[in-house]
Amino acid sequence: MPVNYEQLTRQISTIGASLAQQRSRVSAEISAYFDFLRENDGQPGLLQTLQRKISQLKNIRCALPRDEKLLETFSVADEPLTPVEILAADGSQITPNRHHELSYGLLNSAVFRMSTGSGIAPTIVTETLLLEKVTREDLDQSVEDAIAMQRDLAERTLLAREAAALNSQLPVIALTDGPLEPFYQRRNSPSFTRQLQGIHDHFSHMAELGIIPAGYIDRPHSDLLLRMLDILRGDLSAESIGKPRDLPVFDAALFEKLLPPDHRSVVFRLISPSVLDMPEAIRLSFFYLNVGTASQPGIVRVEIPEYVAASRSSLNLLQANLLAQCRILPSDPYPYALHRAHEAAVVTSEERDRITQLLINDHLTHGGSNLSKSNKQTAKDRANTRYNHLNS
Amino acid sequence: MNTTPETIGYVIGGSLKEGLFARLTVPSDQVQEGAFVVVEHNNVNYYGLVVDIRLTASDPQFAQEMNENRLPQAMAGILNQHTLFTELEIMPVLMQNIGSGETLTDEQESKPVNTHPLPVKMLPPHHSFVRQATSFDVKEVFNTREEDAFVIGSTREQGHPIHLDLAKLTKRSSGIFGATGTGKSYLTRMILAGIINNNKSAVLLFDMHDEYAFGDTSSDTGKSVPGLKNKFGQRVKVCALGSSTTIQGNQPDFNLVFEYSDITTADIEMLMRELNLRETTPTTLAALENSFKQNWFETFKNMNEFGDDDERSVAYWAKNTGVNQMAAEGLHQKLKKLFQKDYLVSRTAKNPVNEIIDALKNKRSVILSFAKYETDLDYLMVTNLLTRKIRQEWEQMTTNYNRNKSNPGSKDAVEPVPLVIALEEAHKLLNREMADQTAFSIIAREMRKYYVTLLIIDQRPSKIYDEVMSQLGTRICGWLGDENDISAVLSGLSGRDSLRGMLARLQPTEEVLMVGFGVPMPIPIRSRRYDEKFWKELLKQNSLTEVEKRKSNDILFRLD
Amino acid sequence: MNSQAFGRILSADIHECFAACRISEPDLPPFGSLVRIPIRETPRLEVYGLVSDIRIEEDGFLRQIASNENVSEEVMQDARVNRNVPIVMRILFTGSISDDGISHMVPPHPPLTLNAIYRCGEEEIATFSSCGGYGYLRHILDARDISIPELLAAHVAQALIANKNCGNPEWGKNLLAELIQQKRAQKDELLRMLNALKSLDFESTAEAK
Repeated sequence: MPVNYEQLTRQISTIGASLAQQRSRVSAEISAYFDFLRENDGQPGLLQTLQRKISQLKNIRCALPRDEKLLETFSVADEPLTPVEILAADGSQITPNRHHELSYGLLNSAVFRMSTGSGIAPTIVTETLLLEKVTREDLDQSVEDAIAMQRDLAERTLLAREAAALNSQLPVIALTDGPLEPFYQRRNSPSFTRQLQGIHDHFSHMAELGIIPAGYIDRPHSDLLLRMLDILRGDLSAESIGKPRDLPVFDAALFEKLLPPDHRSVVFRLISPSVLDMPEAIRLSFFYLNVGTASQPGIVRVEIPEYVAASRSSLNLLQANLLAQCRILPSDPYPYALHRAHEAAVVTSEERDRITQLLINDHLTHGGSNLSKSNKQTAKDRANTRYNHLNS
Repeated sequence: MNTTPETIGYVIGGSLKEGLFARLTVPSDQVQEGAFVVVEHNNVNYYGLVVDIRLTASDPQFAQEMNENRLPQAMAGILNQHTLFTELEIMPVLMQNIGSGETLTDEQESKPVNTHPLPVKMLPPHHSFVRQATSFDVKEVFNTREEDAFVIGSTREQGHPIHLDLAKLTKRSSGIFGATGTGKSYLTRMILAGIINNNKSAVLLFDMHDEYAFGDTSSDTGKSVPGLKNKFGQRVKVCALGSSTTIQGNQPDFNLVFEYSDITTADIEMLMRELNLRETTPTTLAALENSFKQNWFETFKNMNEFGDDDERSVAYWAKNTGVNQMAAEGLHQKLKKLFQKDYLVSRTAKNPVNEIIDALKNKRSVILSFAKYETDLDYLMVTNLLTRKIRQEWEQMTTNYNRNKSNPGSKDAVEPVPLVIALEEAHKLLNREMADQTAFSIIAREMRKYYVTLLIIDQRPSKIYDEVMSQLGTRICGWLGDENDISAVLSGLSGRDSLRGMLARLQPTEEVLMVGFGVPMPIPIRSRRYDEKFWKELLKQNSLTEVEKRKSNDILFRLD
Repeated sequence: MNSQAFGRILSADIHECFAACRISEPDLPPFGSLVRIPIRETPRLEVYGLVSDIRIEEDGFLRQIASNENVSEEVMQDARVNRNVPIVMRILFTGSISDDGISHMVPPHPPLTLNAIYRCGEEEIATFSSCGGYGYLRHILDARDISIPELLAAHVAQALIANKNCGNPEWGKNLLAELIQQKRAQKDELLRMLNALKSLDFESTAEAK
């Protein structure tokens, strides 16, 4: 059934008018936040006030400054770029599909390793895990969530293993795409706890080795700082925690005003129930970084564990190398190593077809039969409709 | 002696009418116009002449640009080799089935193998190979009975000797042409020497400038060259015009004088232009002949020019015979030029004309030197008088022979000696106006059957009457500058358009083109030098036994 | 004869094929090289062809890197060694070899997808190029969507050396003659080819190093 373009055109027009109105309201709200931030910057007792107010709120996710300075920015332009080992991890998965001839899951993790300044070709390690079935914690957990958690665990396991195996004299930066924070619905099952513990253990191991892990969040839609300001202003009630905002206002809009190109913000602690579960040494902090230009700011959020947040030199090293990575792809700044890890990890549709064929062949070899796609899938294929079953 | 003949090209087209076209596979400067070439196909040799050489290209632009300037030398060389061509236009003349040299099948044996070259009637197919003629080919084509073979020169490229068939040459009238200074008289000397040496014909040579009997000084080398009398001795009689005349200080064998009675009125009519005679002259002459019969000339000579009443005067005779007095007196006045000639006499003890005829009948050749009598009047008068007599004599002999040849015992059953009358400055006697009046045009046209032929020597063939030119069997021609002369030499010949350029581009000396009856095919040659070597070889040939002759002939080939 | 395959067929028709190989292959044949594609062993059939185009597939990512003023050596090495971007080679068929010997006709049928491709050695180049009176030239001269002069020059440069080293020093000159004979009716085309060939040494008969 084709799209009803007549209806769509009317809706686009309505939405367009609404968005224009919304933009001015967002702008006004950001300006208000910014003014409030400036008023409170460096105020004595700010940190205590915030700690007190936050402690009264349950399940809150927000930022918490490490001292009273809020508006300070940091540049590493004057510091020399020293060689480091950069590792970047990414993973992809095939989610089982009951409409296909065979329903199977697959995790593919890749780590890209690059020795900056060495002139040596980077190396890529991939690990592929075929899942006959995906084990869910309970009926509430979706298959997608279950497999995403397994993928994250596999990816971080590989990253930690490869980072630990480096045995390099150089500083090591271990990047992941997205937050370091384990972002899953909390469950009280032993297996969930075990998996979460596994992730914590990897961080702890990296901490022992002095490795600098960082979660790189491109185009962040987080409002951690805005929530902190809401709390400070007394605008956030216990009831409104966890509810969405009326307007799409994010921290990034605030830092677009604040951060010059290549500058980072101060480091904030990440206040979140899942972070509070973590051992103290690896609890997460974050900062914002402008990887863009004066005319085209590019605000990203970088999550780091406590031991990195506490080290100014580690912070500088991380900032300088993230900026250097982004400069390799200047028109769309994004860390080169992460891009390459993604390229290595992604399972293309051709690869998926080939894997499926291998499985079918094996199935037939072992006396299997009655392999066919669902009627729905067959019809879709006949209609030549293209579906992308891949997520990364 | 023969090496494998090198292929110089291959046939790319042509027709019997236009000739063959061939692409040259050797550099263009290795083949000359006039080259004797052979096209080979399936045991048939096609003999022909290169009549044009054309530079051409697969695309004109390849020729217009110097490929060497923008491509490396080796590459440009190969490019030029495959895009720039030389095309030959070949006039095929003869063809000869040479046989395979292998055992023939029955079918092959049933086909006639022509051992002699025949006029070309077929064409070789495309891509037949073309090569320069070898000495073997030249021998095949110019194959001549040994006794009649006379080496007149050699092919221009390889120097293979070319034989002239003297028997054929003398069978019909012939011509030797060429502009002044092209070596015409030396060539004539050599050919005459060949004919005399061949001893089958007698030669009567009208030597206008006294150069043939006792030799001359070569304008090229400054050396003296021998005359025919010097070399042939008693086989050649030298006759000087006029009593007690010597030739370059040499005593002739006899002196030629004519009796008045030898002169006919027709002889005078022939001199209309030289004597500036009037239209009334034939009437007056007829009256004189009528009055005095064969003594008309002497009687008229002895008449007094003046005195109307004197019965020995011209006026008196004219009145009495009803001839216009003025005309008769005018004629008398004009004939004074002849009356004064001391080679015209009343009576001779022994008629020298008969002596000449006797000599010729006995296969002695006669060179008639005009010595001091160098005017056209002398030349016309004497040649005509003598030739008329000879013609009558040979006609009579032939008639007698034809009547009696079935009766070998009869004294008249003797075949007349073939006579060649060599005529210098022939156009003076054979021009359009004179031709019908002299004996020469009749000889040229008709006397072949009476054993008399002409050898015309001239530098302006265009001035010779067409009818006479067309009768010439063999034409040997040096360089000619005038288009009309070239056309005249080639008149009546097939392929004359092709030969025209060749004739025009002959070397000014020592190169001649031979065409016509006496040669199997037209061919430009480098003529022999008239020197002691020539005489040595010619006379040696004569004194050898048959076996020695054969050997000598081989040597001759090598020498040439 | 080389035993190392450097790539595999992606698609083919009777005149040419496309083959993929990795940029990191150590023995990647240059433009104009003679290559061999075994189709079957019994009865023997192998196709010969010339590398007539080499294309390195580009993507937006590479374009971004290329636009950067200072590309570090590691990034360059990464793009060359690791990135999963194949080199696609176009191979123009020039003949085949069977139990009956070498033929300069197009193969009886095209090779199959994923057939391996081998680079020919000097002796093989000399043998193929010197038999059959340069019959295979027509495939080059009739090729479409290819810079014929460049392909010809690249091939001749390699074949010239191979033939000199294999005792056939006149190969080059004879090839020029054949080329000129075939193309002399198209003067402009021919001159373009000769210009492309003019830097090659057709004269020296010494063995090439």
